Amino acid sequence: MNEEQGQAYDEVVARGGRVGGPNGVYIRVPELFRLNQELGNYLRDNHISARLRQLAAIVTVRHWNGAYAWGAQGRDALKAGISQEILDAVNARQTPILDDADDQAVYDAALELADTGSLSDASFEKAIAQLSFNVLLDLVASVGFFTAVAQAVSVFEVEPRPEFTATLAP
Amino acid sequence: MARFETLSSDQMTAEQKSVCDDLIASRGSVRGPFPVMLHNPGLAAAAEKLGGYARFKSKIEPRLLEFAVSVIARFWGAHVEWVAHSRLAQEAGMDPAILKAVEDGSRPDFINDDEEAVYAFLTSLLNTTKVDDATYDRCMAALGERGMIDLMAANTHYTVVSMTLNSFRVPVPEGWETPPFGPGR
Repeated sequence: MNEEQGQAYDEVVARGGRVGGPNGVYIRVPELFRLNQELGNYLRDNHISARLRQLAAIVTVRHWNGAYAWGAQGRDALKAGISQEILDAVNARQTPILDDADDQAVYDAALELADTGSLSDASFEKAIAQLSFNVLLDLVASVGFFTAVAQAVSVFEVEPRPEFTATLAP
Repeated sequence: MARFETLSSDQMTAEQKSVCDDLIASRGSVRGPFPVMLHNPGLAAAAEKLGGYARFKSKIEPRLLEFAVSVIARFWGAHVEWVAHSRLAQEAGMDPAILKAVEDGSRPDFINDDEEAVYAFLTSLLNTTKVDDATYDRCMAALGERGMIDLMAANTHYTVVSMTLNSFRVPVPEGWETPPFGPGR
């Protein structure tokens, strides 16, 4: 790393930001590294709760693959209270059993968004009634963001870290 | 019909007004996904900055960058993104016949290798979730290492934008034709 890259890296680490995955590539362009963090940081601490965001993240990464992203988001999903059973079901492309109405709304919307990039009238009405406009907006942005994260780690062939316990099924 | 309310300036908080000021300074107006995103001003601010990088600081030449954004917009069926960026692509020198083929969802006939390389890379990534070495290498030869990074930065921003435009049914600006696809895939 040159001085500018090192400074951007240290700044982000000091604030508890992310340096793995696509960020390990984006650090080559410090300005992009910082701006990509800003969007990720926004989504990590806003209208959508950590649990719902991580549920959306694992549904999205499962759809778009990207082994690194699965390891990282799977770990964070467990940390945010998503059960191992839900994680395993999503990984196996099976429909998880969800007891919570918010979880179900996020799961349904994230699956449709990751696949079609949109929500049908019925899906939109259901999602907004359960989640509110502000949470749904963050959910839509999260699915878009994690789609791109999954794509970027595939393109740049970022290998999962050895300490990751969640492993993406074929 | 749009699924959101456009905030008037007297409905906006100071934070929302400040993001509007940044948008007007960088882009001349508050358009596309931003009237939706402004409901969550932190999101609008982050997207304004990442999008500003992807669009204005990219090392990819405008012809290839706007073509790439057009391919991403077409894949996701994002109306406003398609009409805005396919026009920018044409203004930057893309052959209208190639853009028409992308609009129709058929494979264009390419004359320029760099356009073919970007198209092959994106269609492989978007349709199969992966890119083989030969396809990656051709795109890398066309864009360079920094260009590949900037391409994935554009992909990040415009994927978020596509899903926002579609989910909230952002209409094309008055006087523009609604594309014959989407919203969505």
